[in-house]
Amino acid sequence: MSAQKGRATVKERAELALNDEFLVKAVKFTTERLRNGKKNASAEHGNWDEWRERGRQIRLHTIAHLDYYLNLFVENARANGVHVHFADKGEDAVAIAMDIAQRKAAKTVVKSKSMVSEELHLNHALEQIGVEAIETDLGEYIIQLAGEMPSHIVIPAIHKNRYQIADLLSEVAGEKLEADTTVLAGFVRKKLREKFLEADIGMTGCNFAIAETGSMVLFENEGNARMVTTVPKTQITLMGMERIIPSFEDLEVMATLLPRSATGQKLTMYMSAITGPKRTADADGPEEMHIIIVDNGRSLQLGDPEFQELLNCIRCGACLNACPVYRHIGGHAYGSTYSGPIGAVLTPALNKNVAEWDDIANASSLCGACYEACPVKIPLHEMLIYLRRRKVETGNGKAVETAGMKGFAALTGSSAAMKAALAIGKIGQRLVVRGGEIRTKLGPLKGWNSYRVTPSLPRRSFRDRWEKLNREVDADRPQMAPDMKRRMEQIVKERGKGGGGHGGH
Amino acid sequence: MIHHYPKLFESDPVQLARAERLRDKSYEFTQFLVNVLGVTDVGASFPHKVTYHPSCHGTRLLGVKNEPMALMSNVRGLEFVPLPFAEDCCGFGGTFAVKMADISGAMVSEKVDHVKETEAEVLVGLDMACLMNIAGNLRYRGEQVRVMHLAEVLAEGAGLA
Amino acid sequence: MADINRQTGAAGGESERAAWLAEMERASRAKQETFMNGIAARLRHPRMTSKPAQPVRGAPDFWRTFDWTPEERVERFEANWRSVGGHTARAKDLAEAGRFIAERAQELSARIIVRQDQAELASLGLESSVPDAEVSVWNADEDVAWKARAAEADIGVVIADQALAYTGTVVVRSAPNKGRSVSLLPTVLFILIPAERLGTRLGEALIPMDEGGRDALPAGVHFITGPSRSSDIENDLTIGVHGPGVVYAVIIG
Repeated sequence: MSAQKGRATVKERAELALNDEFLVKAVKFTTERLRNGKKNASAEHGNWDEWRERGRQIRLHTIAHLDYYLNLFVENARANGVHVHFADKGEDAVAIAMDIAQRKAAKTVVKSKSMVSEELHLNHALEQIGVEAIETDLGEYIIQLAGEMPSHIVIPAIHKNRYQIADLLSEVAGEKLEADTTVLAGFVRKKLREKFLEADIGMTGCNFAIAETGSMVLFENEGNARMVTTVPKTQITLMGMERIIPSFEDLEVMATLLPRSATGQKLTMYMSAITGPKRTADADGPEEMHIIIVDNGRSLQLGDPEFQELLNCIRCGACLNACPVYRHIGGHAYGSTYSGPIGAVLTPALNKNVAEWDDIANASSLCGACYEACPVKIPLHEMLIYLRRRKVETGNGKAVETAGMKGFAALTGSSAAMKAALAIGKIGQRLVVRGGEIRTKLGPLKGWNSYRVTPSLPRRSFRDRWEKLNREVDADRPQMAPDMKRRMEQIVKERGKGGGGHGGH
Repeated sequence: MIHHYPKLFESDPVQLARAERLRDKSYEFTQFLVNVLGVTDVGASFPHKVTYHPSCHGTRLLGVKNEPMALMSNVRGLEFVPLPFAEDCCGFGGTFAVKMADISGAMVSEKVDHVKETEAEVLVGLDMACLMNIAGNLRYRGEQVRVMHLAEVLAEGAGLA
Repeated sequence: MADINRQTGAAGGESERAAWLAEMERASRAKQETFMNGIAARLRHPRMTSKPAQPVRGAPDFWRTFDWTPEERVERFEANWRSVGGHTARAKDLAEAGRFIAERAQELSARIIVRQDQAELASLGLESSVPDAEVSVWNADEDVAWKARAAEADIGVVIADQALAYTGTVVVRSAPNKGRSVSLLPTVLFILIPAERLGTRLGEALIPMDEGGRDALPAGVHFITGPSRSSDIENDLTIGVHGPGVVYAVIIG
């Protein structure tokens, strides 16, 4: 992970991103398109909050009983003829996949989109033993050629324009390809067709695993995941240990939430339920099927009341599209496999290294748009606060900030101190105030005043007026009408139920 | 105050009781007017073109949705223009505005672009932090749009200010 | 395609492979216990070995009774299918569907057609109505490389096991006589949908998959909702990226 992160901070990476005009426009355009798609699709479907709550309940229940459901899945998958493996760490999963590849004397592995595989940096490991690993999702293929990481969970090559893509593909083709989407996609179709047919192993991720039948379910639009699970003789599926749902009946809820939240589609073009390798008499499908169940930091979230709900995530990317920070800086600024609000929380959570990744937790205005967009209602914005708190609690806070907060506490904790400070401030600000505004970019105001002006302290503050106001109010204080009192009590009661939104967590 | 105070004091029963008492008598301004007092028309008149920024914490945490519109729709002469992408955060976010100044700056600039698109004379909001942030960028860019809390609009419109 | 060493069928290779798989299985079963115990410990409960009561399962109650009339289903299915770039057609019977496919095949100058090995599809009579094309019947001959055959086919013809109007989705289940490749590898795909198999909601196909249980499931159940597509290049929609780009849904009856 640290190699990916490099030395730059999220702040420096964001600055780079903000200065890349194409990137900013492309990210805004894409997220806008997906966000509107989701809005329309969820509104058209109707009762969206009821479906979300349903999705949340199913995920909460499954994760709370994960030992039961995962074990049930494993037993059923084995009975279906699948070889199941367990990996505590990323390296373990890589070792298992490499063992299988070596056993098969594999030369080529074709892959469909898998975030777990990105997490493990598996392609790199396979290349080291001379196995060519080919990403076959169009966007993933493009960024693989460019040697980059996905910048969006659903549209991985969001940051590339078609001229850049044409250059990359022209190199593969050995001739100049026109920068036309149809031409480029047509070339990739033809090129990857050959690869699908000659590949020894097909490798996939897993959107959902059905505990009661041992099936795995894939959602996709291009058909490459179907290729990968139909053509090669051996299939390897990498699956996060939390991908489980109990039944196909529950899949109806997930299939309702996931495509609509991700792209605004009613359903992805393909949804495939794979139950074991090909049957003996079948003429296609894999002869041998492996599922590698990966922990890699996920179990750290289990039993942690503040973060367990992270495991409910269905990887739709709606939080990225809703996030105003993501829309301005794009995915690479997050410096890890998972970007956007989910990445900001998931990355330090999976790595258990809050101190190293805390600057990501700071890259959020805590506006709550991610929670509002989340189809399974994960309170991401609150988790960001928990991360910040844990950072300070472990003694990794910034000294200047801690001192500042102590000073603020001292001022606001004492009426006299506050009064004195305001009096001094009113005199002191005369040096910098022009026309009721402060525009200096010196000292602590640099960041703020690079984009704004700061208002000056008013001549008469609320504190100055309070004594007179209080006297006026006291002189004429009516009794509260009983119906008003009832309404107040009712509102307070509603709050207890988490009324306004998501304060209940 | 409503959601976080009880959590902050959960390990101190004395302070917790005080925090809960404070919480139970605290209301957002428009929720108090509309839902407690039952008032949607204060008899104000404000003949200006107005747009409205719904702040994140107001809408998403406190659930303020229809109350401000109910009040504004009863102000005589007020011409309401919807703000494009109104629900997007203005970029304030407390220390975020200083720690991640460039991202925050990009966000508030986008917000102000949308405010300008409406050609409103007045931007109304309910959260002083958002208003300070947006006003700061407007003034920085030399824009003349007035930035007011809804309470100021009602007070001025009713001749109280 | 593969050299001799990689042939899993070779006798020595096969016993070696069996030994390797057995060893992996032993390791997996041993690891399974510690893995599950670790999860239970994290969750702070004893290992759960019996099924917990599931308080919420599947779609909300109001959804389960939602249903369209047969005419509405046809109308909605067709509208959904076309909205994602698919083509639709209506035929009163298999004979009419057969004529429709034959006409399209002639227009496209199709050379190779692959169809599933099903009586309904045999009755289309494509072998005689498209004389210029070679019509292959899936898995009818074990000496043919069927995946390669499907990959070179211009047209694939399948019949839906079920279809669902609300999302505009067709369900096809794999079997020895029903290849997964037939609905995936050809350039153009025809899916015949007998009208009585057209339901409303996704749940109508999913819930029976639970009820039948593991043993009743084929290796692949594919839900197809239109042509293969991608928006990965500059958000520009491209049809036919890996799977078929031209997909006809022909409703019969």
